[in-house]
Amino acid sequence: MPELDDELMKRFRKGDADAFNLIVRRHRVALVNFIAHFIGGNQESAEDLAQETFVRMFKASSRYKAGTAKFSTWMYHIASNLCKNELRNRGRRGRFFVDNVGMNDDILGHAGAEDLIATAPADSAFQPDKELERKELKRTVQNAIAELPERYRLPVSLRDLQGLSYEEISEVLNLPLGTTKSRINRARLMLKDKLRSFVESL
Amino acid sequence: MNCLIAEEHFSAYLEDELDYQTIKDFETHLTNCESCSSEFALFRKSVNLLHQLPRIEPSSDFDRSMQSRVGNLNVNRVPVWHQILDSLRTRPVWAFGGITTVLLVGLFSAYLYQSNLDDYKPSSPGIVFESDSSPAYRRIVRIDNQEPPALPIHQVNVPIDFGSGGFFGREVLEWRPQHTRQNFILQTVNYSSAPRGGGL
Repeated sequence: MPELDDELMKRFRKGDADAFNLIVRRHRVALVNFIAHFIGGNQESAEDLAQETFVRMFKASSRYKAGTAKFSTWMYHIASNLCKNELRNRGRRGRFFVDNVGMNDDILGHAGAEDLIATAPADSAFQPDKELERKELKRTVQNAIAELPERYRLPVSLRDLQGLSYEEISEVLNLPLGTTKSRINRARLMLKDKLRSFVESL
Repeated sequence: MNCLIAEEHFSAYLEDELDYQTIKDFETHLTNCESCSSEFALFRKSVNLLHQLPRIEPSSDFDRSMQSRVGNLNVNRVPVWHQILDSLRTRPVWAFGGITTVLLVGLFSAYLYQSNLDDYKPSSPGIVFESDSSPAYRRIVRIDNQEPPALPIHQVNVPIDFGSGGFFGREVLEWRPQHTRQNFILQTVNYSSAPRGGGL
């Protein structure tokens, strides 16, 4: 409900601090997921960048104009710029993000079968095989996304993981609509090739 | 339609964004091309996998940490003119009521100020200051119409000559000197319209 976001921003600008807390609660999950998929790394760094995004929004709240841009577009625009800076900094520090992504147990929730059995609750509904399958899916897809070049990873994350429209994505990335569509199609084709063996094994 | 063009239409076909003729061409190509057909099936499954990706839940500490970061910041103050414009948009009745009240108070103050000027009695009895519509630019000072005290009568003996007869006489003439009324008008001079022929 974008109108609710505009209303909350208006209330916050008038001094209602609770309105901003509600904005954070509404968007924190989507933002943490977007950043985690985009930059990889552990969940702690994704949450740190998500909080930094909210802080930037807090500081720039007076510049937000309701109606001219959708709230989520504004939010993802700030977040994607922060993510790009983070990746650039990692590159300077000599850490390639792919090394961190997919291999990190924190963010992927990847655990060995022994751990799952050891920590399994005494619940008949709990199925270790399904849980393993889910975690395997998560790890494989995360790895495939992380291996995409940045110019393809960002639009496909916004489209297929965050559910933004093509128009919103082109606004966030400041790209023409046609370029946005072709990049998303290209990214999906790359993912198809990377996930080929996994999909055929299902 | 060839295989390369068909591949470019994978996303658009999946999201139902193609026009009727392109859909027909695409489906005809997939029916005739086994490779593209299997590739499109794989494409559809991989996109579905993306949609099924489990979401990461932020840690329980996220909100508390967020509030501590935000708490250190000062709330941005909205400029006054923004608040006025906002109030005009959201509460027009109150806004126009306030503006009307301010205007009425201003008019009443101006009326009181003008009344005080009219009632002003100068301490010097002979001089009255008059202000016209633009008192900041023009002041007229005039001598009051009160009659000044009468001056003493002057008497002069004047010799009278009646002509060639040689008779001389003297006559006493009386004359009362009159006050000269002088009006001083001080006003601003517009130098741009002053004559340029020499001097003012």
